[in-house]
Amino acid sequence: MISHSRQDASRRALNIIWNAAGRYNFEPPFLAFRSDGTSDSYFNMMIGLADKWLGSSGLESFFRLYSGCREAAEFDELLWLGLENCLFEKEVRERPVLLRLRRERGEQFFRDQQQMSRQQMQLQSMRVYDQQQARWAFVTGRPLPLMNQRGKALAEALRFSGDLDSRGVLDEMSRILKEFFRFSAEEHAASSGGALGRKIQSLFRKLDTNRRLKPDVLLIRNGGALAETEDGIHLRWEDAGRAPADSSSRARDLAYIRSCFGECSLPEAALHAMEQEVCSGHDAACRLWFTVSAAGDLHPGKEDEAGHLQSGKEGGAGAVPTDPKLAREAADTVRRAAAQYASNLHYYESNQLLISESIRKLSGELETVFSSMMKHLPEPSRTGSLNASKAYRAKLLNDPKIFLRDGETEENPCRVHILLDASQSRMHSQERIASEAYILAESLERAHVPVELTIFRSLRGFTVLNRIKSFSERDCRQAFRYFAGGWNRDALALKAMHYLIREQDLSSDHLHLLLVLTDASPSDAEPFSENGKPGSRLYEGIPAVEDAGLAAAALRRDGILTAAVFHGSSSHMENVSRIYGKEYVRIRNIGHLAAGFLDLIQMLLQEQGF
Amino acid sequence: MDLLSFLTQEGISPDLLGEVSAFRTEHPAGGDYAERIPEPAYLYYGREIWEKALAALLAGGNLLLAGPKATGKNVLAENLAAVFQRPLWNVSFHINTDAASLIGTDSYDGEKVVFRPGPVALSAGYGGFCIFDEINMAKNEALAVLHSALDFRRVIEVPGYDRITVDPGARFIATMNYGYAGTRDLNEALSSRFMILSMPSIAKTDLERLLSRSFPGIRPQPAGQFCLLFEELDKKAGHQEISERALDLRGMLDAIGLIQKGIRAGDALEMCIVNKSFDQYEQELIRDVIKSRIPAELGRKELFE
Repeated sequence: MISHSRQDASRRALNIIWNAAGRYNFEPPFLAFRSDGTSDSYFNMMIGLADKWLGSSGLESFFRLYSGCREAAEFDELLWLGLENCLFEKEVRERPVLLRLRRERGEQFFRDQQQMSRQQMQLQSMRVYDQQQARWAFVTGRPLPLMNQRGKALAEALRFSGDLDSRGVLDEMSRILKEFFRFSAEEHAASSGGALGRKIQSLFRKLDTNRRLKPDVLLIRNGGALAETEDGIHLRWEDAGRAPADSSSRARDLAYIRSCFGECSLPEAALHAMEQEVCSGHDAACRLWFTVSAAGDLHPGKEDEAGHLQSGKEGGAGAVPTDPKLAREAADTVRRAAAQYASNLHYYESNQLLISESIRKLSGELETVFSSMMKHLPEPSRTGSLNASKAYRAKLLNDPKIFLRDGETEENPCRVHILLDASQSRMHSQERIASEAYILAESLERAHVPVELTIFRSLRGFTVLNRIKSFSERDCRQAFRYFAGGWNRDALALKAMHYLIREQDLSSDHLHLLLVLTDASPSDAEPFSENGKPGSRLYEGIPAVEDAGLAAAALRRDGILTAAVFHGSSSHMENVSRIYGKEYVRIRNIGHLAAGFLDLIQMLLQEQGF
Repeated sequence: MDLLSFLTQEGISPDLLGEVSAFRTEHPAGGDYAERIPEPAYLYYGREIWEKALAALLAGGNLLLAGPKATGKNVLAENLAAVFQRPLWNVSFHINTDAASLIGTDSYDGEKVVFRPGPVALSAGYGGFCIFDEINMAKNEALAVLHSALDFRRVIEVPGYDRITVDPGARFIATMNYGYAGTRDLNEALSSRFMILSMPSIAKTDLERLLSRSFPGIRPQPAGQFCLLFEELDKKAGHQEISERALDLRGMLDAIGLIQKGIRAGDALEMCIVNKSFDQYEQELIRDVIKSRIPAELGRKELFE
């Protein structure tokens, strides 16, 4: 929870740590926050100074020794108090302002103390709280709090000397745990039964709400949450297993699709023509559905007060299925879409500064990159290149504008189509994907590059493309309508986009770029088609990847630049290069999106000779 | 102070300085553009860079000063023109820089169409130094017109008029910043016509000397903290955690100037460093760095003797 809600504060904390450490190429083992969620500048500086003076590896190994034990959070807080004293004494000679900052940190502690509610007090670990109070009283020149002899001895022991080297500090830390808590890190490691034991203990630690810490400083162990997400994606499909829909259920499926995503925006004949061309070969048994969302719609369909889908035009959705089970499922989808829209917006608002900064940087860079493609229309001028055919006007008509220069009017011939994979496997990162799509679309718009956003997913034999922003629309916040659910038959989506781009824009002057935000892991409940019917081969794995690769190659052959922004797991790295060649960029976090995307665009345009 | 004396103090090779003196004698300052010979407000510190730059220009080459913001590229370029006593033309490149804005353009004098020379044609004709500031902001194709002036031919063809022969005293000094917003890579044809000098960040000791020279009476200890602050901002910008907007040496000097006038350090640095960024999030990061070095309450008495 912490790592999700505190991205801005985390980045700020990291910057303070890196600055104090004097290097930026490491992930610190801890980040410090105040109880209101803001970065604790002073303690983050201490974390950075620990790296500078003591080196990270020894400390990290020590903190790891007891990471599975139930008192780990308390030990963290106490030992960092010890480190604080040592690091302060080491650094203050080089950084005199530290004296003032330390005192301010102490004063802040006592200000926070006065504003603390009874419930907050009850949540404190008193052992930690007493020691913090003793430390900051000492720093600010206040009388020391009442403590027993053991507490006083601990407070004294936690004043690690600035003369200690890293070995000495580790010895002190070890001694404190042994003497005051009868805890031997080495024995604990040996008795905790290795990795499994540590996991179990860690679980108990999470469940141990009676001793839950809510101290003045929240020292958060950094990086664990991230490590858990890699390869940790499991597809959970609430639909009726992977069984492909048989022909008798097609009417029900169509009703379901219609109720979830609304009426198809293409006339029946146009949809039929598109399906005739696109749904062939491996996709012959598949259907397509194409919808365009209007600005202002929160979600594809709407519900009445009882949570049922409204039918027809008022609701924005199509006919409500007569089957009550189907109607419930459709209503549930609509509910989830609405909830996800709110969640996407919340994520955006929580990370607004980071996102705004990314847009500002990226749009500026894109403007430069695309500027070489911009065409200025010439206009008459008093200086510039002589327009010989108009030279007579100077003499005969006293018209001094017989020169030509580049005019103000310019046009960008590039058109960007962003295609978002909205399959269930993206469930864990919907908010991030929505924000990334927003960053890309908004940056391109600001750089005067027309952009459209389309979401795709496959379910019940249909591959549904939902255009949430068209070229003519300016509001890129439509990207927050993204929600995940269903499968992803990538090849069919790419073929459909190919068809739509070709049908919509026949102008040879335009350069089309199709950018797919994907995890490069195509799969669908509808198997590969054989002889126009669902076959026996499941649509997944290497065959599905190769199928998508063929569709991407066809796009490139037609002059449509096709590339991917990949944020899947490492195990799918090979897939992405099979589908998109070298035209992809891997994005690990939203902060790196701008730079990664820019590199990708530059590479694509350079290949085109710009 | 004459720059030659300064360079002697800096420990620059006497041979090089002797050749600079000979160059000055061979190409005497003066003429219509004598007032363009600069009198630098700031001096460039860094012996190695000085020696390399002097040697390159003495060898008849053109210089490309490449490096991030606040490495003194323009200060060095201006200092070089002053040392060689050459009139200086400065062209700030931008995306729409074209051949006409560099070489010159057609104009109408009331009777006939005439050629109005641009900064490159003027510096070539009058033996000046021409600075191409942020050369990589312009499109490469717009710069092709410079090729013949920059290589062994040392001529500029002006279609429809004449050819301009580049004076033996003329030199071209370009500056560029890799990865700066709005920049692009120089193509090989252009970069091969320059000797490229990679500009390092100003060393702490050089920055201390710059501060003590610019602000006589500044106390060494707090001045050292300002130098370290600049170093930390430099490192942060180098790792792209903040933009280069805040990495502003002139801003730092301005801030110290304000403190000397009685403004508190917090306010002075806010005006001259923090507010150079217009992004609130970035401003917070910059404030964090400043706070970790300079007390907001620091005033004239604490900073100056």
